[in-house]
Amino acid sequence: MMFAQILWTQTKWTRAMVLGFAALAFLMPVGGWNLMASQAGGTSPEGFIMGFQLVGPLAAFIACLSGFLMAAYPWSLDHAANHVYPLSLPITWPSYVTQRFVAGAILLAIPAVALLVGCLLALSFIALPPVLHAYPVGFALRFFFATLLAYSLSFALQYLGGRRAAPLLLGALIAFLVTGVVLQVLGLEGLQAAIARLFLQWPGPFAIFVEGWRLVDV
Amino acid sequence: MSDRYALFVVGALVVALQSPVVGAQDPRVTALEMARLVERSRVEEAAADTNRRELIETRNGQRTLSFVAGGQAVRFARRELSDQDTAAIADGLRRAFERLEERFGESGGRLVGHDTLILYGPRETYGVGSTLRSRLFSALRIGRWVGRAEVMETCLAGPDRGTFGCARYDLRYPPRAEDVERMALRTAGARLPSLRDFATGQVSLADEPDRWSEAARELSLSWASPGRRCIVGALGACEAVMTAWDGVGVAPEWIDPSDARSAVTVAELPVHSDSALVADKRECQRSDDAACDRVLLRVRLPDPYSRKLRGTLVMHALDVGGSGSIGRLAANPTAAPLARLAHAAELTPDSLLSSWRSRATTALEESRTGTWPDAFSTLIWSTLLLGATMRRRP
Repeated sequence: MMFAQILWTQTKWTRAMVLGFAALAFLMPVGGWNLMASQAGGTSPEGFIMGFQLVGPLAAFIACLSGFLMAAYPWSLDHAANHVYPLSLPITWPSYVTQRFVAGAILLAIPAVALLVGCLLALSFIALPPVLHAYPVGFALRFFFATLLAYSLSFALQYLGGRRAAPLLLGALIAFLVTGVVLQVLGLEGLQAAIARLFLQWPGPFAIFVEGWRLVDV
Repeated sequence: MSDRYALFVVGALVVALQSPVVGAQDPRVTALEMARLVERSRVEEAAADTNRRELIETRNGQRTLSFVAGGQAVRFARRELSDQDTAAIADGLRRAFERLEERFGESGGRLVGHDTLILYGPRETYGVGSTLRSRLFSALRIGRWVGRAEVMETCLAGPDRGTFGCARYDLRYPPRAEDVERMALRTAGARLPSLRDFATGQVSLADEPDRWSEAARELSLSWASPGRRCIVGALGACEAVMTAWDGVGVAPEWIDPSDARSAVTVAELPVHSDSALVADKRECQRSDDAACDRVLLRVRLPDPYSRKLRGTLVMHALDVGGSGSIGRLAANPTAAPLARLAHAAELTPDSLLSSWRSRATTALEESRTGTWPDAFSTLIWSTLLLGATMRRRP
């Protein structure tokens, strides 16, 4: 009952955002194909892959942005009221945070479903050569989990950092860039590569953003 | 206040994610990058000239350090080497020697280290000033610093490759035994009995699982239909793929009517193309089949398949043939490459091609990264982040 109420509040606060990202995700495969297909040239399998090559990075970007905003915006509304609403509820703080997190995560599925429908629609317009395969379900699942990761990071950043979330994020970005330069200056490219692998390769946290963003592949 | 912070965070994220794209589209950045590339190319050419000169000097017996590893003479050029470096190189070559001898018998061992010449590349420094400053410039992408610890060009001169025809391989300094072993295994293919231009310089005897999945991708994505038919099991098409491409004119077996547009897209137009040819190419792209045919009669098509792809067939034939395969490969130097490889593998050409295709498709299947491992790790990370979040109250 309490969770339904929190889910309702979350939906009310973020419905415009969810619908906007869902519309974007739905249109992206067809739009990406239309933008790239004419440039790809020919009807070879490589032409088909090039035709969809814009869709992967676009989806990753939208996943990152939507996940981030879906956590940041409700928190900012809560924070504007000094968190009176959650503190007035007859539940513990960890329970509230968990329910708020799950409510937001459920709503993240809506853009992912829209992306899946958009992918299926785009694929229905073209006849793929026999050597190529389409992976709409895997692509949409990857989008959902990437969104979830961005959402979790943003959620943690907002709830842990509070008003310092923005400086913390900027600080982390600057520290990341400076560390890269310092390691290169010191000739420690091996260490730099090892750190990058730690974050970007499975089971690192950002592995979901790095590989596998292909709607069509061999 | 909180809205402003949220907007600030979003803005920072958008700028951080977009900046590489914006930078890439800026014409000033492109011009600067071009200038850097030209400069880099100039320095690399100068380095290559120095290498050639030193190679000649070394082969003439000047500035040479020799020792024997795995029964083969190894010569080092130019740079002074510590005892530790020399021992690491000798150890690496010995390992490669033993591994190939185990796989292919005595003729396999001979592929390693025979008159091996390791030529260290010159140290080039961009910019002026201390090493630290140069490194800083390099890190900030202002210049490029190539130091002793980063790049060592290595040249393995085979007995029948000629002075400048040696295989090249980048070996980091200080040399490690496992790197030298990999280098020796990768470049040993340069000393195999000649297959004319079939797979020159692209046969590796090291374990390289990625080569097989790459081969399957190349076949699948080729603009020419034989590759695509081959990957789905047409052995006649695989045979066509393994036919050396003469690069002149249009071979009918490569051009399926459905490939015409793609073929015209990759075709190299003559330098002085007349307007009719250019117009035909444009019409072809608009699905005019007759125009495509006219273009194809007048253009030169690039080889649809790389030597690297054909190199995998050589590697497969040697793997299947095992001990003695190198000797059999040398047995009939005038025969066609496919026949020679089949003889080396002791299979019929069809069986060889079939097993090669299966190996490539299996590697491709194995190389596919599914969503579930990443999804699982994302769930774990999200749970950890949620757990951390619950610990703090506002």
